[in-house]
Amino acid sequence: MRLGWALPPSAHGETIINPSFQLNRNPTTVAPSKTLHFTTAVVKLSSGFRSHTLSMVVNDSPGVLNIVTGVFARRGYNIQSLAVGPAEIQGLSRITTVVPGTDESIGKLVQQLYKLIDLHELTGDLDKMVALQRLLEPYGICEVARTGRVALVRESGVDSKYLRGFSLPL
Amino acid sequence: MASTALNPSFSKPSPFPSFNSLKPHCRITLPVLTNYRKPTPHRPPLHITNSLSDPKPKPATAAAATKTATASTTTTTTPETFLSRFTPDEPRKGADILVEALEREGVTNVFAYPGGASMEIHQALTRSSTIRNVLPRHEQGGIFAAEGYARASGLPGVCIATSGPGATNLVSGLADALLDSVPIVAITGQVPRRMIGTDAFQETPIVEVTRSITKHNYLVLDVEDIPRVVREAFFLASSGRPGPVLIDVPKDIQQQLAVPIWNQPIRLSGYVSRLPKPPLENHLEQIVRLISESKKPVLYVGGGCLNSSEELRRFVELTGIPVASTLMGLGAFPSSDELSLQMLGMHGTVYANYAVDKADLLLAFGVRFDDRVTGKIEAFASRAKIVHIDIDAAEIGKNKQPHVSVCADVKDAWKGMNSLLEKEGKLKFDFSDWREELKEQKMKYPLSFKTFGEAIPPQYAIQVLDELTNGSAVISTGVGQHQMWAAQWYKYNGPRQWLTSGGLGAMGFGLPAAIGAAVARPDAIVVDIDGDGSFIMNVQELATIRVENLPIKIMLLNNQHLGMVVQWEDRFYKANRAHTYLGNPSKESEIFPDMLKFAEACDIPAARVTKRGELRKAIKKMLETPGPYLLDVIVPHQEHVLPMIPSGGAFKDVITEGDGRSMY
Repeated sequence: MRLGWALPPSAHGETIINPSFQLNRNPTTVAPSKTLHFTTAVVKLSSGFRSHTLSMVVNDSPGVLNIVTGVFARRGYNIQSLAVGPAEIQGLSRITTVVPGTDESIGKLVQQLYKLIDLHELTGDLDKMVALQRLLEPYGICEVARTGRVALVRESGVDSKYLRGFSLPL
Repeated sequence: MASTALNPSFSKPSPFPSFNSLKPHCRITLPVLTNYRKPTPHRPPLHITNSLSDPKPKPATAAAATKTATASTTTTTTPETFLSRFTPDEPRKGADILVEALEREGVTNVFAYPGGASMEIHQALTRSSTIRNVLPRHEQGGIFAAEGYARASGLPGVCIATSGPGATNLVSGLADALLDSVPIVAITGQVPRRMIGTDAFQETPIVEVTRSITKHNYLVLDVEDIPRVVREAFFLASSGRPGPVLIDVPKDIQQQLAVPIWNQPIRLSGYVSRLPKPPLENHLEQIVRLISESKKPVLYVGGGCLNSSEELRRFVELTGIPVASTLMGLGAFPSSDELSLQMLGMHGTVYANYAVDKADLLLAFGVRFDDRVTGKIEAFASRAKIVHIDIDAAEIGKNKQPHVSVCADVKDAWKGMNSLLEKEGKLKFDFSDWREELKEQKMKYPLSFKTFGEAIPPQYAIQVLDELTNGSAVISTGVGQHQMWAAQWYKYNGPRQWLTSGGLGAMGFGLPAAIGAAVARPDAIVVDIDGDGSFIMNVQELATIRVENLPIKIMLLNNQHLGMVVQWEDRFYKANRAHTYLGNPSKESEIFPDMLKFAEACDIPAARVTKRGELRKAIKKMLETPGPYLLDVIVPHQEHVLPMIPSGGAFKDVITEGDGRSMY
């Protein structure tokens, strides 16, 4: 997922220049991360359809989940996974969803979510579960059970975009 | 889309601290650095937190957290000159707090219809010396009137209804205000808190019902929240892309005694941080450069430009770029100007659509590429580079991918571009060949209509009205053929002169909207150009007009049919009439219903005109009669709104000929 739209362009009075308009610049090549030495390229379906993880911080009050999921429903997005819980700050909740879609369609969804007054913060695709699992593998994993997908921003700020495209383990 | 129209009593908030920057010791904001992509300014900052890994947060952290959650924004509230009817520490009812909160927002008119759950508010309104209630005869009339008020003045319109059916009657108006970005604050009564969720008498979960048709809504559960909620509602309604906000107030809260705290800060940190910032100069420079490189530029302006009419005129003066307007944008640029191409889109002029089709640069400012404008989206402006400026980030790239886009208030963008253009004297644009080409199209395909004997062509009636009012009247309309003709044939010279339900297309809008306009602008000539179908949908508002003695002129284009649907039946359904005749089938020779009797019932002078030769005199009489007046203009139902690009079509599919007198 391009994170370009993870912050509304409005925040900087942003000008977005469509790459196709800019001197036919070569599409940005995906370079492997320097922090984690995986060399596998992103596996992308030809349709461009894949799952995206969105993590939102919203006001913790009755009906907010309804407000958020309402946006998904009326714009025709289907939620694959949903996890809700209190955020690290009192009075706020974190909603983590997994939604299938193309980068473009999810980008439009994010713009609609940004219109919600109860939304404080939205971050995209920060799932680290695959990375965590790989990290633990050398020590031997007995069993993995998963609930709804949970995603948090990791302290190091490493982006794991290249991990996407792997099917979910187990 | 539309630009900011702040309530005058609201002091503009200073740039708020972002949500995260308030607790520097607990959260650090770092820009993300990735290996595969150059960091760009619109990269999201990654928020790194340690508060979760800290099992026992230090007291300072906890305090900061509370601070963030409760008071992340600060604003000064009401001007200190406000004189309350109550002494500061005097307990008063929640309804009185609500009404005073409205007063503090500068509200002078509300459109409120009472009921069991809202009568406390009405009681409080009678105690207010500054707020006048205009009593509609239906809640839908009330909210449409509030919309007319907001559209004509640019200030938020306020309507109040009771719980249950009163609240659900607001639904069409809320949806309309959301689609057309009209600032509305709707207040509804609700059953007492203890009865919520019990299917009580006149209970509807209106907050649930209106969730997707309001910009935001509130259910007040604590009387202490009223001052803050009202303040937030007005701020939300009128800032950014304006829209409707609903406040649901349970009856027991209206009755509860409390001492209000007026200087509560608003809690909209997320929203405020996402409001668009002023555009950057180098982005505007880029647009100016694109203009200088173009040969066939065209402006496509919409409802977002209604607050920046002057800047738009100046921009056109400096560049000489022709202007095509959407239905919502009519009046932002004077229709009578030589560079005006008038309306574009499905029923737009041939030359406006020609200009967009042939353009090499489309300057789309304050617009949303609606399907009624674009038709087949792939074919729309297919030869042009597209520059899109809009206040709503979600509109950019929603329907059509722009080449260059700026998320900002168009007013600021224009100011910036104008000063750039004024500074750089060397930039001289010459689009005279392009303007010649368009002038040729204007000559070749002017707006036209045919005349059949003494029958009154509806377009002619509007043309005469335009002449007699010198293009200065405030026009409201219903929805359908008459609406399109009013858009095409009346020459709007200024913004906020044209009040119509654009996005939603709500019939019955014209009459109540005219009420709102007449309240907001008592000195203006207000004319409701209506159709017989639309008029009857809110005909009860004639009573309001009479009682309030509002000088509203109603010019009814009566063709006894649901004209626009008839037109589609003629064109695409072999003229099969499917419940589109609105007269009495057993007495087809008579006009039914007799609209003059509706007027008579409400003591409003009225006349009917059926012959072209008598039309001018009749319209003159309508305009000269003091107070309200209804003129029933009988027009043939065979007329079609032309030009027409069928739904989903492209410019090449434009229809300029024919009517219901021939078969297709």
